[in-house]
Amino acid sequence: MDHLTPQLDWMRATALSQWVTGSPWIWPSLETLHFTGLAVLIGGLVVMDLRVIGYKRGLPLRTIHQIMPLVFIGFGINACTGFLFVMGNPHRYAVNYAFNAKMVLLALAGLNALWFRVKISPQMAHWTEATPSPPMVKLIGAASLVLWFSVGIHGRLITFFG
Amino acid sequence: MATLRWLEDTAFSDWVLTSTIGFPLMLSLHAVGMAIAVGLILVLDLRLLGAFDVISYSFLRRALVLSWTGFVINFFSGLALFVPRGVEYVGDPAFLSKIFLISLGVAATARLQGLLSRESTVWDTGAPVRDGSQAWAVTSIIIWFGAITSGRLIAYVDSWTI
Repeated sequence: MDHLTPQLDWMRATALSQWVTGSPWIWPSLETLHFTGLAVLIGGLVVMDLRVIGYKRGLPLRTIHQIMPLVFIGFGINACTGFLFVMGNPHRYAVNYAFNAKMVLLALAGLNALWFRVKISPQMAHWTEATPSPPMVKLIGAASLVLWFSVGIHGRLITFFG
Repeated sequence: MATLRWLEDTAFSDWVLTSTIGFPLMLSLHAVGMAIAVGLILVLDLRLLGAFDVISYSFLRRALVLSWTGFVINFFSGLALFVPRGVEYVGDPAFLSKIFLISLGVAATARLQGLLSRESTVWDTGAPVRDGSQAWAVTSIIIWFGAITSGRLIAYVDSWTI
């Protein structure tokens, strides 16, 4: 990561970076928000993916996109707080194995969701509540859960596997 | 205290604190369990407050089983994290308030679960949700945000200068 050193130094020198580490309360507060965002994101995601995988009835498949705002709120909280962590300690994150793996998993989870949105959602308009999820759709739902939980776990591992 | 001290000296405590996977594994499980438990409760709370009306109450009643699974994961992972440091934790205000808030949160969740078991099929027909449940939903959101906050602060209690 030596070739990135000037950029990392620049990040650390910004006023934003100084603000993040400027008071002992800011980092723990951001972490609390990051955990809250995780719960919001996972809550919405689990409800959607359970339905996609085929978990019982009582939630029409074609309406699950209405739960997406909750997922986006959770993701938004965590993208903002996560960005502030990186700004606050860029040199550490750049070389942290768990953080880098987390970003790769995040990209995969994003692609998986995009695939669902582009390939599957348009077909769902004429599915009734009784339509069973096709195997490919179940696979995408299961991959979503596995990938997002892996993102969360790798976030937790940042403390340990630098 | 003698019991807590004895627990700290067990081989299990040693494994949690000194092995490569012990502590990271338990913390990861604790984060995952929290996200499942609190995330799904949050969806239920928001539903009771009028959001996401595509999700039926009977779907949420069944999904709440997963919330309890999250609690079980966190009871055991939490115990594994407590045992090696019991003496310190029983005098830690952040830990004590976390346990207090979780007790309240579990009671609130049990209350909501009870309401759902009795009334979910009625509520799903469009009948008005009992006023009391919305107060429980707001209380539940406040309690769980407090529990996440005090849980996060446990990591910082050493650096407190009280």
